[in-house]
Amino acid sequence: MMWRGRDLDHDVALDVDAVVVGTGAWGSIAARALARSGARVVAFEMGSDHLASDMTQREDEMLPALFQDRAGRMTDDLAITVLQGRGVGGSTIHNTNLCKRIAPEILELWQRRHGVVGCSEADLRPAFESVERLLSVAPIPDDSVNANNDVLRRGLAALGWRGGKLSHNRTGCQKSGFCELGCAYDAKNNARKVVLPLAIEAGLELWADVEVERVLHQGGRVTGVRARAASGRPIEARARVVVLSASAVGSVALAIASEVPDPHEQHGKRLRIHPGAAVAGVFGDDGAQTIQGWKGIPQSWECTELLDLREGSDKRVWILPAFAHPIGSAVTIPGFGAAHMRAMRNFGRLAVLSAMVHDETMGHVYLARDGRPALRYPMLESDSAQLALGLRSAAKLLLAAGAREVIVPGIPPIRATREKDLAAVDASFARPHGLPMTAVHPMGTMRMGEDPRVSVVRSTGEHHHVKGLFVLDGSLFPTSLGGPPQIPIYSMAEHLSRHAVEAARRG
Amino acid sequence: MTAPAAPHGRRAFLRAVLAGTAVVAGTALASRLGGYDVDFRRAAYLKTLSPWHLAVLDAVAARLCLADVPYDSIGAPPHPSEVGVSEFVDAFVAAAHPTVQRDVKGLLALVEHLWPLRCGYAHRFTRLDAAAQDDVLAKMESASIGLVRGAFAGLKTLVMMGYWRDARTWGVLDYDGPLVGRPAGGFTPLRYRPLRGTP
Repeated sequence: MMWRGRDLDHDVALDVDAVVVGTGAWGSIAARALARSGARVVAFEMGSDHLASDMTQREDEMLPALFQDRAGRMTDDLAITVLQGRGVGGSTIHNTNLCKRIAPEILELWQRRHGVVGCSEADLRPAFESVERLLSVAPIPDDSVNANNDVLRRGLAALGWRGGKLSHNRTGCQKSGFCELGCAYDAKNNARKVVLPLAIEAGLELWADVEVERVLHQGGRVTGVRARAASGRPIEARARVVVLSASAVGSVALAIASEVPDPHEQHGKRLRIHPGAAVAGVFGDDGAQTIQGWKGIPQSWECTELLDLREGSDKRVWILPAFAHPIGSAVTIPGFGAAHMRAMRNFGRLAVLSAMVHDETMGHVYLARDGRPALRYPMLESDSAQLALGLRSAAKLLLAAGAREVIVPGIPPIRATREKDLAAVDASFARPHGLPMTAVHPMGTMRMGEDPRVSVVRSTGEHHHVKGLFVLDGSLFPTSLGGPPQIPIYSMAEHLSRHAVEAARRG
Repeated sequence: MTAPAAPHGRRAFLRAVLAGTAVVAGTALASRLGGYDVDFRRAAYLKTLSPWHLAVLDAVAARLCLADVPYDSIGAPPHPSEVGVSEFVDAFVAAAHPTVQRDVKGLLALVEHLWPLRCGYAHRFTRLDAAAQDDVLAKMESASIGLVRGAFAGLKTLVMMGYWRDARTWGVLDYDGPLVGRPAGGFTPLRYRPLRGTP
């Protein structure tokens, strides 16, 4: 069953086996596993439940509805926009359905360098396969590659670079192109559509519009949570197991606010975000509408030419198409006034690629004075250099595909018609405040490992210092992934949730 | 017998100086903070911003969303005031966390008062001519202080959201807008479980 906190008109006290905080990719899988085991489990989601019929395909309505802080979350220096989902289904509601497993190099690094055990490629394979079946993951058909993605395909072919088509989890896609604003056709095989109904069928009680304010713990053991419904009514749930699945920002903020023991001051450290920025290519002659990149599936091709995930690699950039609707584009296109309007008139002739960095920078999450989570991300010069490499390479791909001009939206912007004009796109250019940067994959603020001095949770996801408290979300990744986190999160959830189930059983 | 009167004379003089300074400062402050041409019909609907915030937003939106052709020419986009950019920003910010509301109000004060001074203009933003306003905004966009750049980006985001959300602006882009409500070819309803309920 599902309840809405905004309808609640009385105080509530619950006595359950397990509480899950957050209902995104990880929370939904953990809730399903717990409910199927016979545990009495309740999940709290701070955001609302959005039905397909609620998706208006309007940026001004859906961005504030589906994202944290009304899509205004930024690093504390206002340099990088950090987009994170909010609502039943979490970020799986607005993501673009990219499906890639965790690279073997990353899993090997986690074992070798970060002391993670039981998470090898072989250990995770059953979980990958099971999740891919559950979400009906399949390659995008050729006839579903839109013009913006076809630009990348042509650029890769012209340069002979590595890349290819991606797999997605969507069924019945209408190719409307509004994926990042939620699917009005319910074609995304997301947590809301696929996983949570199974969990509810198995007995999960899901509360939307309820914000967990504190994890309760005593003597090194979790005892439940205290929450508040959107109506203002308090909810207290006593439980033997609490699973934090509220994202790499939300989970650690809650742990800090709850004064969860942290003797080695690890909470919130090692934040990675995959910082990225976009490059636009102008195609066609005046009057010709050759791209219309907002139509069709947004991201179906990728470039991996500059992505070597081995430790110490100097190729840490993932390039993929990234088209936005009018507001997103107007914000990204540099400048203002008449010149900005002239640039906007090219909207239908633009192809846009983004470069995303497999980052080494270690930011951190802390609580601001008003109690809200804040993100500090002092981007390393090496990551700026990678971003610059990515932007130059994206521009090169656009030119190779036939763009008559490329625009790197810095301040000031760099316009180029030849590759040699791109030399100014260097590390000093690709720095925070130098150009509009966006991050959509926060991770790593309560990383996993067996050494409590340098990690927050064990390889099982259980907190080193509080029994029964599990952190099961992107927080526990010891490093950046270098790829889309959807399948990694679902699969790690599938793999690790059994430990929370066992803890709920043993009491 | 002039000596005993001297302290009284100094006090009187100091009082006069202080009073004069207060009057001058008050006048300057009143001149700087007052004198906004407020449309009370619009101001009555404000949710969180003040009438002077509205004036600043109107002025900023007019420069940020300036058309590249005269507004009365064929194919010209609508003026930001026509699409209610400032009212949108007010409503958008009113729904945000109180800290965000405070920050946005501070940002508007920065644009109106502090940043023009920093750029060498004696007058507040809304009293500058268009060229000077553009100069102030451009210097904000490229400021050496990162937070000021970030503040400009935030302001631009709010204004662009208020402007480009309106379907009347989409003609400039040949953007056809949302597809919901139109027949979706080949759409087959998927298995769907309503999850709503009441406790």
